[in-house]
Amino acid sequence: MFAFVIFLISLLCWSTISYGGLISPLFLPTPGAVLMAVMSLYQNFNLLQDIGISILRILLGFGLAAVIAVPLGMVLALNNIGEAVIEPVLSFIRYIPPSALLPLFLLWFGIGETSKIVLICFGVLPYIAFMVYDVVAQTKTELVDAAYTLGAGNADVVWKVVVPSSLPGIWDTLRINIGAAWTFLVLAEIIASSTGLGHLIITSQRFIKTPNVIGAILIIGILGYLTDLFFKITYNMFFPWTEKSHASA
Amino acid sequence: MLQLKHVSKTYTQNGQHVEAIKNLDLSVKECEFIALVGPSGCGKTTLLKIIAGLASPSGGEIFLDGKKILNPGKDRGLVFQQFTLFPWLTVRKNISFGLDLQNLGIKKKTGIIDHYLGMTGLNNFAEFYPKNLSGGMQQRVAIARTLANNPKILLMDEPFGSLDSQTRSQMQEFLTKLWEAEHQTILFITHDVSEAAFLADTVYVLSKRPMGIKQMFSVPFTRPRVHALKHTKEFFEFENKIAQELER
Repeated sequence: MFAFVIFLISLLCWSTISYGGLISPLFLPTPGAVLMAVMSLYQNFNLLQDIGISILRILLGFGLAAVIAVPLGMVLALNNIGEAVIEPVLSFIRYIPPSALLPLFLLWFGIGETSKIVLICFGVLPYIAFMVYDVVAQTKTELVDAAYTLGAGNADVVWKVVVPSSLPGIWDTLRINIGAAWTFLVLAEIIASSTGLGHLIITSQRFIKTPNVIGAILIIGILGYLTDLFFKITYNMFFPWTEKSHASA
Repeated sequence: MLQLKHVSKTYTQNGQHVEAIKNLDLSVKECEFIALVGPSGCGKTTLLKIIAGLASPSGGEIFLDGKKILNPGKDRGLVFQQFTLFPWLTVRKNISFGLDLQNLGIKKKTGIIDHYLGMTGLNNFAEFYPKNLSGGMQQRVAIARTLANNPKILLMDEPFGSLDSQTRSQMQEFLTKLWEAEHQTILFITHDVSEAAFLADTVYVLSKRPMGIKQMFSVPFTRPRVHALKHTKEFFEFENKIAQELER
């Protein structure tokens, strides 16, 4: 409800400024023009294909990062030796802006799909690993102790206490980081791509088609919102037992 | 059955050498209900953790039925002061946690779980998650979870310490009833003198830093005990005697 009101107010401001002629349509086109542009992109320029390829890149790059980073973060948290060896390496990588590595990725992997997927993966992987590490490290000692006194061995404690108690936090970690994945995707598509929403933005900008640029940005926003909604709904579905969850028992 | 021989514990905190437990001897007989009373922060929890095998003593040895204790094990059930139910498991699955680690048939397992659900009055809450239970109910589940494992001794670390006073006295009455029915060996730790006197057969008063046993009291009250006992003159006098020893 509150979100809807904010949306309406924003739309109202936008309409007033653009239809009122306060700013040249070159800089800020009207909502109507943006809508027309999106329709035209859909009808004449295969908009759905651009959206589809962008989503596919996200899924592959982010999926690959998650598959590597989640177990990595867990191992780091559970294992002191691993921490000593891998943590400095991850910290080092974390402070390199992935955008700075894009030229290298292009050189190594070409301008095809691989370089984009590697960039997304590389961009989010250290963050996912660190946040998962934090979640796992915060497993309550009392729960671990309780499991031991109930006869659990080390493996039982990992699989029956640490993993289930960490899953909601890991799910939240993924939800937060998939947003960052979009940043790296658009970056890759702007610099070197002939498809995708990022490519649409940069070509439209070259031909000064501002309505297209804003249309593409709004589409990314809507996709992000839907992704977040997906994570929220599945969170309540998977973890009805958390204090945060609104699902009933 | 449980024997502590010259148990001591020292550790270093902020560069200072702290002697938490000094030369503590204690033996618990089968079916005995023992309460240890000590001031807050005297190292009671540390002692219980050592007996549970979650911490190791700096000196001395502990034996359960003649076997030296080195690790945690299901023969020593521990009920904590904090709520330690697994929040992702329902009440039934929490009680089942220890049983699932053993090779029991489904039928036998269900029988045990149902028995303890009934005994703790939680039949109607079997499919609830802990977040939907009150504090008293959560501790009842924790007790059921520990007892379902059939431990030789039940270690209780101020299990009612974080409950409000009304729930607390309900839980005390529940525990006496439970003991009268099952005759489980219990080592109960508390800083509440009245709680110790109401529940136990024998009360040991502990001294502060380093912790040791100051005095032993045999509780003169017959069982079954009901809440009204706490309002008798005899109970009040006995409680006072322990309290004086504690403060001395």
